[in-house]
Order: sequence, then C-alpha cells, then structure tokens
Amino acid sequence: MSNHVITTTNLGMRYGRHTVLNGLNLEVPKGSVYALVGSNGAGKTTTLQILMNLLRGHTGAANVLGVDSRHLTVKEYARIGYVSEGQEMPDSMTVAEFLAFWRPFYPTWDNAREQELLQLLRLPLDRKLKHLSRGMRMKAALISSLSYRPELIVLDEPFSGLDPLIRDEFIEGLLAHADESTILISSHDLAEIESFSSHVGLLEDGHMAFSEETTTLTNRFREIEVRVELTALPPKLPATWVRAETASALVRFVETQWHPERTAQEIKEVFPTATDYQANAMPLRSIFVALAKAARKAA
Amino acid sequence: MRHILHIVTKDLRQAWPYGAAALAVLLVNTANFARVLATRGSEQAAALTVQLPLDWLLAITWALYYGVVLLGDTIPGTRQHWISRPLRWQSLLAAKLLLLPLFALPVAAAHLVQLSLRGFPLADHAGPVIANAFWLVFAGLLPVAALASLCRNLQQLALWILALAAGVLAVQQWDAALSTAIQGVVNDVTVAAVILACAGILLWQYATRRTAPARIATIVLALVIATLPHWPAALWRTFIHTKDSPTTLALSPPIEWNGDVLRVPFRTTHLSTKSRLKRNDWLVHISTREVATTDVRTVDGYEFVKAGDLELSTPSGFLTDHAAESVDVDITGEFTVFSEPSDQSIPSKGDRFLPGIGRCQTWVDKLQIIDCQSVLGAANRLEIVPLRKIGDQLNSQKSTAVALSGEQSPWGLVPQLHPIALLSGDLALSWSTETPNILLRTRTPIAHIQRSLQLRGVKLVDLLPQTKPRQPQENESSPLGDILNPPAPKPHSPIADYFSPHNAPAKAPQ
Repeated sequence: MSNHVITTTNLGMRYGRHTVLNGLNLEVPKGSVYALVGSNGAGKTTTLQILMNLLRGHTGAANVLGVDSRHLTVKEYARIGYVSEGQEMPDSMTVAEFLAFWRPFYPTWDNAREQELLQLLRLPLDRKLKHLSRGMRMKAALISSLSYRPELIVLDEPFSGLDPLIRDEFIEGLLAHADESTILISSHDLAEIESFSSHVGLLEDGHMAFSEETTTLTNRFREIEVRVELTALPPKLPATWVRAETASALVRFVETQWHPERTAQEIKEVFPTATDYQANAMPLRSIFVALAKAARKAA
Repeated sequence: MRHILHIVTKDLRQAWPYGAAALAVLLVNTANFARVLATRGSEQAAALTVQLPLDWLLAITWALYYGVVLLGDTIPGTRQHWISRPLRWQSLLAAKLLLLPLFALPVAAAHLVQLSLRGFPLADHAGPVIANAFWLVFAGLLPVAALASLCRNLQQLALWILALAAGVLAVQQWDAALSTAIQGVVNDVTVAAVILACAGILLWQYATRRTAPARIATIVLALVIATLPHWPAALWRTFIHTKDSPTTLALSPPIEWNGDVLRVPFRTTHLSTKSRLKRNDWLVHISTREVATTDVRTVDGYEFVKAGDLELSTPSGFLTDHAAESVDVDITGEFTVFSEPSDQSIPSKGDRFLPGIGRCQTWVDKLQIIDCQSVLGAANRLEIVPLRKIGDQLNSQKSTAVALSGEQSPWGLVPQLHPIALLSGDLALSWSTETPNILLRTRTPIAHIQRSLQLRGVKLVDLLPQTKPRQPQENESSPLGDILNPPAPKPHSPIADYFSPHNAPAKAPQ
C-alpha cells in the first residue's frame, strides 16, 4: 500500500449543470491530520461523501485504504470512522443503546477506550439521543467512531455550530485517542484546525488550490510592511506578492513564498527608497483570507 | 445472522410502543369479531358497525408499526448514521423482512382463537390458518416496506401511500374491468405483479440507494399494475369483439324442462340475438328476443333476469365449464334462455359474509364461487349450490357433479382464503326463504363444518321433507353425501336460530 491513505485523481462531480468538483487531486498521507478547507460550496462535503461511497463521482477515481471508494466493503468500513455534521442519529436510542448497537459490528471495538472517551467527553449514557444537544450528539457519534481504533477518521465539519467548550472537548477527545489514526477533517474553523492539523489543503472552485504541510504553509506566508514614500504602487510586482496596498508611507502585501534573503532582495529592487520593512507570521485564517481575496480580485 | 438478529432486536426495542398499539388493536379486533359471530340482532349489528373501522385501524396500526421499524434505518439520503458503517445492506434488508413472520405470529394466534371459538379443531386447521396469517401479513406489509424504502420519515411514507392509493383508484375508475371467468387469473397476475414490484423496489433501494429513479419506477409500476385488470377488456375489445367469434355459453345444470320450454340458466359475455353454439356436443340454436333493457321475471318463485342485451357480464365468478356430463335431452325448438340474476345481493368475489349482514338473503340460482379473501384460512373454498329439481326428482348426482366442478384459479397464485367468518356466512345464505338448499364444499372436512355451523339435519329436514336421503356408497367422499347423512344434531346452537320457521323456506320443493 502506498504511503497515502486517501488519494483522488481528477475527481469530478456535478449536480445538474453545477460542477462541484472539477478534477480534484487529493493525497492524504498516512498518519497525518489533514485539514480540508474551503469556502461554502467549495465541495468539501461532496468530496468526503464520495470518499465514503455515499455519492458517486462522475469522473476520476478515489481510493480509500487502498480500495476504490466505489467498492468499499464492510471490511474497510470497519477500519473507518466517519462523523458528519447533521448526521441522522437513531433518536429514540439512549447513548448506551447506541454504543451497544454498534459494538458487535466492529471486531476491534475497545471497551476500555469507549469508557475513557465517555469519561473524557462526559456523555450521559442513559440520555436519549433526541434529548442531547447538537454538540453532545456529535460527541456520541465521535465515541462510536473512535472506540474501535479506526485507521482512518473522516470528520465532515465537526465543529460547525459547537460552542467553544464543547469544541475543545471534542478536539481533546479526538487527539487523545487518534494517535495511530489518519484524520481527514473538513472545516471552516481555521483557527481550531491550525492547532492540530499536520497538513492542509485548500479546495477552491472544485479543485485543490494547494495542499501541503501546515508548518510549510505557515512558514512560507508572511505579511510584509515596507516603510517607503510612494504616490502609487509600481505597476509590476513580483508574482509571489498578493494583496499589495499602500497607505501613508507604508506598503503592505502578503509574500506567498517567504524567504528572508530573497524577499529582502526583492523589496530592495521594487522599493529602492524603502527605509525599513517588517515580516509578520500569519495564522492560517489570515493566509486563507488573503488568498481568497486575491483570487476574487484576479477573477 | 448474528448481526441480523441484533438489528431485529434493536428494531423491536425501539418501536415497542407502536408494537404494543398494534397488538392492542389486534386484540380488540379479535374480541369484536368473536362478538360478531356469537351474537345476533342489535348486539350483532353494533359489533358489525365497529368491525370495519377496526379492520382499518388494524391495518393502519400494523403498517405504522412496520413503517416506524423500517424508517429507523432510512435508505434515502447520505447522512444516516449507519451507511458508513460495516453493515451489509443484505443484513439490514433481511432483518427488516424477518420481522414479517414475527408480525404474523400474533395475527395467526388471533385467527386460531377465532377458529377455536367457532368449534374447529385446531389440530386440523392450524396449518392453513397460520399459513394464511403469514400470507396476509406478507402481502399487506411488503408494499409498506417498498414505499418506506423510498421515504425519509413517516410523513413522507403517509403521503406516498395516500398518493399512490389515489392514483390507483383514479386509474381503476378510468374504465370498468371485464369481469369474466379469467378474472381470477387477472387477480393472480395483479397480486404477483405487486409482490414482484415491491420486492424489486426493495432490493434496488437497499442495494443501490438510488432513490430518485426508484421513486419514478414505483410510480410507473403502480400505474401499470393498476391497469392490469383492464387489459383483458381492452384486448377483448381490440382483438376479439370485432371478430365473429363463437359465442361461449355456459350451460349450467340443473335445467328445467316442462316439454315446451327448456330453461337453461346461463351466462355469456357475448351473444348476438341469433347465435349458434356448440357446447358439450349440443348443437343449439338460440333465439332470443330483442330486449333493449334487462327484463326481470319470476318463474316458479325464482326471480330471473333476462338479459336482452346479451353482452352483459356479471360480477360473480361463473363456472364456464362445469356442465361436462351429457344430458339426455332433445333440445329442439324454441326455448327460453335465462341469464344469471343481476341481483347485487348475490355474493360476489371479494365479499365477506357474516351472519346477519343480509347480503345473501336471496336465492342462489346456480353454482356460485364465493372467492373471498377474508379473515382466516380454515377453508380454502366455499361453493354454494342449490339442489334444484330436474323434472320431478332431485338429481343429486348432477348436483354433486356441479358441486365438484369448482372453478379454480388456474395459476393458484392467490391462496383461497376463506375464513370461518365465511363459513358462518353460509348460514346467512341458508336463511333465504327461496333457497332450497345449499351445498358447502371446502377442503375442510365437511363434518367439521357441520359441527361448527350446526348445519346437520336442520336443512335437510326443512328443505327435503319428502325426499329419502340417498344412502352413500362405501368410501364415498362426496360432500353432498356428508350433508345427506349428517351426524346427530347438537342439542342447541345459537346458529340454529337462523333456521327459525320464519326464515326457513316456506315450502319445500316437490
């Protein structure tokens, strides 16, 4: 088996005339925590549903755990934990009944881990699922998906609508018991993802804008502020600079390929009269906002 | 199998309130039905009044119960908690279908109680009754399962059921179906098509979860199946009626012959005013008068309807092939042809008979097939035959032949589900002041019927006081023989009250 737990090749999907995925290529390395991010309608949920064989892509191929996603069997599903936002749960069951129902289906179900998760996430066993809050239901789904030590955990917008406390508990439970798993998570919550994702991929207009390790991504992006007197920005700027703007003796832009020496040299060439510049590290959220605005402007 | 049972257990546990409600309604229904059978007069009328709503309630509660169970693991959609789990669709479907036999058990138990109350020995009838209960539950709930596999919740399921029912009814109103002797075949085909379609939809949905095409296919199939009963009529009109086809005439002994007029009860669906037909080696020229409308006349106290418009078809399943034995009669000259009566009180296919209902309080001219699918399955078939005179003698031989020539559904796809209620209904038939006699023919040993229905002796005494009962031959198994040689009557039976003098035939045939 390759080093990738999930791969997609030119994956395409459309609803009617609307193309959702357009030649998506995705690779999720084994053991990684891969964050799939993108704006609403970018195709994150569709991608995950194709990977879980809940939908069929129109073109391309998807491979999960070495198997074509269209041919996933109970053998593979027993190695996958899938939790999605708004998942339909058997409301009339209690948490205990829900867990008891799924237990026999997983040969690797670990009762000790189940108990640990229950204690960690403080879930009432005797409460019916329909009487649980949204966050609690997600916790129940997570426990039922982690107790059998899945090799792959797929989470579709798990933090959507959760309050910060529940979110923290959820992430804690996930990280505490998913050390040996590969995690693919789609989310809008970039701040939360940044804290634990090892890889990140940006889905834009149905294709992957970029996909790389989180540290590499954050290391190559810098927000640069240059002190220089200018009446207008030069007409030609390096291609790696985006969102350049000027105001009161200050030029600000985002360097997408930050390298201390090279970037300093470029600044000197573009702004010969510059007196000083400052390079600030950017959180994921700022990086994606900058990229999204740049893409919109270019469009 | 372990997983299947696990799912079944989960389903039963989750839907237990609905199951309890369904069982409660079944209990009430059974109790009321027992009251219908055990009482008379106003009390019985009251019980009958609530029986139909109870029947509907029973069907609805069981459908609801099964719907809830099925919708516990909905098929349409992509957000169900189970679809990305190691759960085989075959296991899920098997678990849902496994509930059907479980559901049939209480129904069978209720029917066995009914049977027991009516005096039938359970050892003899438990098998057919249980099989019948299983069939009822299977045939009744399989469509619910198919529709539930297309729906996300109970509201959708209810809407689908109502919409499809409305659509099917609308299609059936479109044109009257041809009612012929092949109606049984058409019904068999329809039932088989419904079951096959439901099974196909279920398999398709559970295997592929492609709901949109499955919904379209369901609508198309429902409409096609709803039109099935119309196909014979359409084919008839298109390919047969336009040709000069030979008239089919079913001659049904007994025949009345007084030298001038031969009265031949018959039924035909296509007969011109002058027809020539060959039947059982009889070459008969039939001449009928031009009568534009149905003519009713009374002959010997019996009311006949003479059909001038001889393209009349009757709703009852008439035997077209039972006059197989030769009749030594010279049929020449003018004779009058009598059609079947059009009296709607004649029992017809689908009727359910209960004492006191009054639908059958009229004469029955000839062999009628009462092909009901009703409550229990104690008897497979009930035929009612009047023993009429031919000439001055009771031609028991001929009558027996008639009785034994029961029309069977050729393919036998639809079990003949005759309940004890139906066997009770023949009592209602026997009240008729104009019915000389009836003959029951069922697969139930006739002695059991007699014992249960208290028929023995009563009718023979009342109807044939001047006739010496024919002694049965050794090893003879004729049901007529059983009637003619009944065991001694029980001291008292409430059913025997039906044969009170004011209901019994006023005058026995001479």
